[in-house]
Amino acid sequence: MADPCAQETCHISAAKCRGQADQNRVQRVNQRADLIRQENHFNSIKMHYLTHFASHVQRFGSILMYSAEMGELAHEEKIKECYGKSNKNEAARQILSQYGRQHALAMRLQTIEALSKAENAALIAKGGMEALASSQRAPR
Amino acid sequence: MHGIDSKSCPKCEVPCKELGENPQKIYEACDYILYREKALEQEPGQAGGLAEYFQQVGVKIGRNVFTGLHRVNPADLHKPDLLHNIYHGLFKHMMEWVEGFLKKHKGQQAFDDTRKDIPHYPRFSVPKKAYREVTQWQGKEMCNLGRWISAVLASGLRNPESSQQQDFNSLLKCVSAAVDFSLMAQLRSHTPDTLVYIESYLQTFHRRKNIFLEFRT
Repeated sequence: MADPCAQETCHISAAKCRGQADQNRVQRVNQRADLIRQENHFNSIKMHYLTHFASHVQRFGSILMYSAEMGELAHEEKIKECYGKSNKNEAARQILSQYGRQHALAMRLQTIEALSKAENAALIAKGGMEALASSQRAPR
Repeated sequence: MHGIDSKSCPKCEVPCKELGENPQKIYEACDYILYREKALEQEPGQAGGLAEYFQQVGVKIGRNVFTGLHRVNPADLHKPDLLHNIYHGLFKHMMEWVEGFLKKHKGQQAFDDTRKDIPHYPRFSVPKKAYREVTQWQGKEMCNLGRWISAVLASGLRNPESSQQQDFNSLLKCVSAAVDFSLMAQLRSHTPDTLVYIESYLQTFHRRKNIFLEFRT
């Protein structure tokens, strides 16, 4: 069995190593940021991404399809608004069921609309028949 | 996720000093398999050469999340994003520089006045505040900005003095190139011609951008 004391020192040195590595990484990131800042203000990664647009279109198609705007809007509409409507208790379940409820409601509305149209059509047809019948009756 | 530095390109090995440089220059594509092999070869004792190489190409760790997934090319996973690259990247920075330019040439008043006179139009709401007073911009507003900016600038800067004439000209050309680029990028379908247009507008922008050089924010 390993000596617990030795194990502890091993742990400490590992933690130290990790801390050192983290520090090194932070230092490197800062150095890089400084390098980028030293150049003119066009020197940003967003400027560079623009150069890949044309080749991307060639390989994958329209850029509009990959815009983050859709996803952000959906997040706003589907999740945030539904969260507002929930009672904040186990919200995830309520958010999920909200969509189903909206869907069911919309279906029912459509059915009612269709039915009322059909009813109207039937009424008109009936009325037309009656009018026809009365007009046929009139000459007699 | 690609195991690269925060400000480096996942597609190509562009050095961090040349991010805003000439778009015609083509850099070597990122080769993630090579990085992984190098990282595997590396022995714990001697890390000097490898770290230097990785720093040069902007890679943080050789073995990234996608290591071992066949048929996955991490370089292809990055997708351009209109909202963050153009609306919140290009347009936002450009407006900061335009503000600086207007301040220098005292054209702010004319710019704001012209902007308020824009008539209503379907799918376009008239901005109520002056440009400076708006603190937060939404994607939709930035999209609208692309529609009015070049016209308003052209109208706001219509009476240049002889010394300002050249500056005004190149500013207008630079802004309109950026707007053209963004409009072209929004197209739903492309032909080889439109791709050529995209590249040429980007090059025009890069050729003219020096007008903004002094308005660093």
